[in-house]
Amino acid sequence: MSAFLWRIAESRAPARPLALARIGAAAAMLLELPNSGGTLLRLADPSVIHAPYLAWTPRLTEPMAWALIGLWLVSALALMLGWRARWSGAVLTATLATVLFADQQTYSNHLFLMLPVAGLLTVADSGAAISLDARRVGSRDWVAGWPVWLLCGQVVIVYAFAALSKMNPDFLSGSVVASYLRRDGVLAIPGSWRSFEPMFVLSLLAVSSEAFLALSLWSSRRRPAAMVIGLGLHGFITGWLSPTMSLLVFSVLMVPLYLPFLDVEPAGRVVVWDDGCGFCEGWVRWFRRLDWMHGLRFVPRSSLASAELPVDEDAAARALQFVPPHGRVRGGFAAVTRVLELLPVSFLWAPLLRLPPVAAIGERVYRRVAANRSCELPLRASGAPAESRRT
Amino acid sequence: MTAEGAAPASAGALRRGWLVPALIAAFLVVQLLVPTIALFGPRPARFGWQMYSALPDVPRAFVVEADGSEHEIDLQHLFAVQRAEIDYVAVLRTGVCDATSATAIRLVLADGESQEVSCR
Repeated sequence: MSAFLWRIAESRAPARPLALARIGAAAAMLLELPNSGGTLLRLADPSVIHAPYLAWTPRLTEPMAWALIGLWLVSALALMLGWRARWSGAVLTATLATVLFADQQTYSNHLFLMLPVAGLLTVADSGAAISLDARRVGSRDWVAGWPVWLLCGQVVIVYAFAALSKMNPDFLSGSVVASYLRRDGVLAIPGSWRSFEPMFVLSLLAVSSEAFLALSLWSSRRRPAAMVIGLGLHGFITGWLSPTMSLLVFSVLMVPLYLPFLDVEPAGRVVVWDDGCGFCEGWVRWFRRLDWMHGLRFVPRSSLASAELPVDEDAAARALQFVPPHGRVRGGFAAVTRVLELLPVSFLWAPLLRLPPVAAIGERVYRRVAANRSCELPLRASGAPAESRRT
Repeated sequence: MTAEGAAPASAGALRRGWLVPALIAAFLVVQLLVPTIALFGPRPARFGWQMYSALPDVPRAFVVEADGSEHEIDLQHLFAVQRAEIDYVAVLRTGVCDATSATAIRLVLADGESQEVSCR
């Protein structure tokens, strides 16, 4: 155990996935502010009862409530932008702790979750990349690994206990899910559907999804499935359960925290593409733009000889190649899938492209497009086009 | 650097070296122990990550006057947020007993179970 703790303490983590998690988590904290701010102002009303955790806790006054709202707004905004991230994170953590423990009525699970998340983002120096701090003093590729590991641990703990606490007859009877399902709006569930069988199935799905996430986010083999299940779970609870705003805040807080699980080392994966082909070049340009975690290194086919990669020129001419740090080289549609799994805009849904029917159709479409693409080779020194070819 | 100066520095480094593993262990112990204990109490419990695990059971409250008459308290107006996790007995005892002439407060839970809290 001691050796394990030492290993975690001395580890390092890539800075950019953490920075994106910081932006998402701070956005969730800003989204929560109107709700918690409203509660603080209500608590400042002398006609509202004071329910402190400890008898000596002072009663909130209106100026105190506004001061907390102001601190929350400014520090969350500063953390999101990465401006003096360590200081803004520390102020935000202290503000969240004050709000949470000011009165029993301010408690909510997502507010409680924001407290360790803000604290760990602060300790982890989440402003080391993609931040105003990074523009000012320079970006770093790596940060201390242990707060990031604890952040991931926090996510797993939340899902694990959410699943464990739902393993009770009340929840599994479906009555809890039925009572929280949306009753109005376009996504409202009709009353006739709130019968035992569908509600029981939904309850089982909720428990098993949360349990699967807790068990799988840290497993490189099961993580792609966990991403899709996380997307489904958070999409469902935000769309179909109420209160929508609280659930939206919870989802916006949790989902960016999946990014540090991806283990995206800077330039750790290599993408080999045919630089003699304008069509491929266009795709690669988009991949580069969306590679916000800088996890991909792009090697053109013309530089393959000096790159010492397990990819031959013919394969690179036929299809895009994806070279992971360990394991099999992927080509064609499978390579596109692996690239999409590392982009922040697509990492949640891209694993769906691995499903056998989707992968088979995708590969056929990819081959057909590749066979019919029109490729212009680079200009020769004389300025004349080298040749036009179809591959 | 002198030998005398080096000794305290390495002791300091050793202390710092242990600080991070100790912090990690403390964080994990708290984050695992608190929700585990909460699992064995009524649901939903605070600090237990028990989101949507049970229907919130918010009680109704009645003020019992000296002559035995009762009237219901509007908890919605009295509380900023009515959550099931709030310790209504303690809060109403201090918040209502001290501010009214009530002799007791009767709490009725959703399952019909009743609990009387004396104001004396």
